[in-house]
Amino acid sequence: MYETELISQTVIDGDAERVIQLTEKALEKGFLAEDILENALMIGMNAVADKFKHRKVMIPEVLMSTRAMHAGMITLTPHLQKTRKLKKTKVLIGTVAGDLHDIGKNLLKMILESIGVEVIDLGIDVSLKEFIQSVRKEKPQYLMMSSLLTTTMPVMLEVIEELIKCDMKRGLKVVVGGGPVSEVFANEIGADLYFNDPFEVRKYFIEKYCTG
Amino acid sequence: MLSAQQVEEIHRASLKILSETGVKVDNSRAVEIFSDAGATIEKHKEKVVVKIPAKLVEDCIKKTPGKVTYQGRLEKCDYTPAGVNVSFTTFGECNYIIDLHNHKVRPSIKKDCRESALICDAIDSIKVVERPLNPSDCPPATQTLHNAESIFTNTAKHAFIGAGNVHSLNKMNEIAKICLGGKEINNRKIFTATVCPVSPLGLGKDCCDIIIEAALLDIGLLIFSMPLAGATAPVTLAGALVLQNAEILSGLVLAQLTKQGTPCTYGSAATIMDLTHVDVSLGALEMALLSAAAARLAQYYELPSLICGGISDSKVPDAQAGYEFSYSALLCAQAGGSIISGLGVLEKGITFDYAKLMMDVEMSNFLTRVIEGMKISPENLALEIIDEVGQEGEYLTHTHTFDHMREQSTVNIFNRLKRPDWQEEGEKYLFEKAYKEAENLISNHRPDLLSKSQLEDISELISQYELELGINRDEELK
Ligand code: B12
Repeated sequence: MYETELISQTVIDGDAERVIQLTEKALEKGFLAEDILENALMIGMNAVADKFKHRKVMIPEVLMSTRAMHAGMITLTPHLQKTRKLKKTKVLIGTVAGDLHDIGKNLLKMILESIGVEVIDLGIDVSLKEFIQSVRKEKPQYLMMSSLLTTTMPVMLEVIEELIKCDMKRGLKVVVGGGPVSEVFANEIGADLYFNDPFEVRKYFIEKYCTG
Repeated sequence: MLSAQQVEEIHRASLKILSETGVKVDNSRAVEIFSDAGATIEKHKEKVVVKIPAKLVEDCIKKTPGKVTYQGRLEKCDYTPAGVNVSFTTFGECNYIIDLHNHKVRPSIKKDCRESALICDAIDSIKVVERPLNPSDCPPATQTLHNAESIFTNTAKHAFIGAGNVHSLNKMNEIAKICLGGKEINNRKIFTATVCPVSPLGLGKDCCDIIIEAALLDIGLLIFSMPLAGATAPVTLAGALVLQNAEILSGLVLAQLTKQGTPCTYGSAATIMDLTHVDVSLGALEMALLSAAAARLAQYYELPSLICGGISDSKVPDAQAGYEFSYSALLCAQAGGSIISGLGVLEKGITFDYAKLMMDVEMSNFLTRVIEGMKISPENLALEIIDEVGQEGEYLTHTHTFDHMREQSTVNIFNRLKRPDWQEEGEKYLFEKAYKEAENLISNHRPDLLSKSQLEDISELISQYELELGINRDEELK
């Protein structure tokens, strides 16, 4: 009991080094990896996410905690059954052609990495061709596109159309977001998922791959 | 604000950044221009870093014109910032507007671009128009052109517009020429092209293309940087300021190297990334401080400036919007920004509102007067008149009063009524009067119109370009 509490507190404090040490120690003591994940790491991270939601902490603190959480996850990975699926989840992410806004996208990337998702970042100003080629090469389960400009939003539609045309859309979930992108727009262009907040994306992944 | 010594310090620090850290330049033509002028080019895996020697930067600053006239389509609309002159304008471009009739927020459309340009034309104190809104009902690839059309055809004042890419810039220039009735007759420059460096220390491909092409076409540039302290710039304001200064100077150097004498406006949108809300804040006191400091730097370089001031984070034209406008616009005005950009803008720069516009305009008229201060002169001291009236008389009917009474401040939509009169007029809140006033201006103002054939030519030019781009307007997603 004490061990798990200490680990979650250390995640809250954002001390990655110490989380690794404590996690190793807990494993040595015979704690189950699943137990450490759910009752220590997750609890700590959820507490931070909750505080963040209520504006009690600032984003750099959250990112330090996500880093600590990520470190703990890596330590646990060889011992975990449940998160295998999450580990194998690959996300391709990029800001669409003509658009240089990437703050929101980068945030999303860091938060996904913290829960062990592999994220391949294509950067900014990513063309239709680059998206298609990278999907072909990397075979991700998720393609995430960000757009902050009304002038660049249509690129998302073009990418989806091209994916369908090339018969690459099956088994691939397209997720869109960014300032002017709305749920309605996401539906119109045939995207599979829309989130306006990276923490919602995190919740979605955890619920889908880590629980039950 | 900043002392002369602090300004020097920021300047020297910026030169150090430019020569030692360098700027990422994502444009081979621009890299060549920098290289030919003696900058050091470093090629890393996927990026090219340009390190600009201090002397080159300082030479280029000297070559940049200090006095800029923002020309309107008609000469009477020209605006030349000078000395303590400040002026106020809108901020662009917002994606949303609070509907004038039902007061609900919605995406802006081309009709709104036209109407907002028209109202800017109607308001005397607005000297230049910064494109306020985005026409979301137009094809994305030509939205900037539809915006230019909306502005050029509804006001004869000078406009600040972002072109997006160099093709649009050229088309925009053609539209401007049509407005002027053919290039041979008239060589006025009715718009300034806005470009944004990407913090930290990046000049993107389109940004460079536009700087080069605008310089070659003798079109002025607004080099508008927007470092966000805590996200794309140091969280400390001095760090954000020096980063922004380096970015603006890098753009200016490219412009001057392309063509010496290209007018450059020093543009500041520096603010914070609110690390609690994880979003920008444009009503933040930090933005006011950074803008005011930027105005001082622009003065040091003898450049005109466009700085953000008076933008609110509020969603509605409420007290927060009023406070945020007033204090920050005042600070910017005191610092001597040539053009203060923020009229009518809510929600951290994404929503435009007519009530806020009218309220801000009224306040900005006050501010313009406030910073002029009061004049102490024999005529104004009025000693003779004081002696003449003595202890018993009154001043109401004195000729001195008649001579000067028009100098008194007066209100247009602010309320100075006695309570009973205010009640009789329906107990109106300020924002209600503001919307009404905006409605009046939009329905009654008649701008200097272009001829029917000019209007047709512009619309034909855009349609033709859309055809070239393969855009079928009916098929467009709304
Ligand atoms: C910062 C900024 C810039 C910076 C970008 C720096 C950078 N590295 O990103 C700079 C200065 C470079 C810039 C440039 C321009 N900008 Co700008 N910019 C902004 C600003 C102020 C903030 C954006 C931001 O970072 N927000 C904070 C982040 C955290 O929020 P976010 O990106 O929305 O992301 C959140 C969610 O949307 C979500 N999310 C984001 N992506 C994704 C993806 C997925 C898959 C999911 C699930 C979720 C998700 O997660 C995030 C966290 O909650 C906005 C205005 C505003 N208030 O939003 C204008 C704004 C977007 N810009 C605008 C404009 C016009 C431009 C320029 C064209 C200016 C010009 N030249 O005239 C250029 C264009 C450059 C280009 N080609 O891209 C307009 C857009 C208008 C339009 N037509 O759509 C805006 C609205 C401002 C305005 N009113 O003028 N800009």
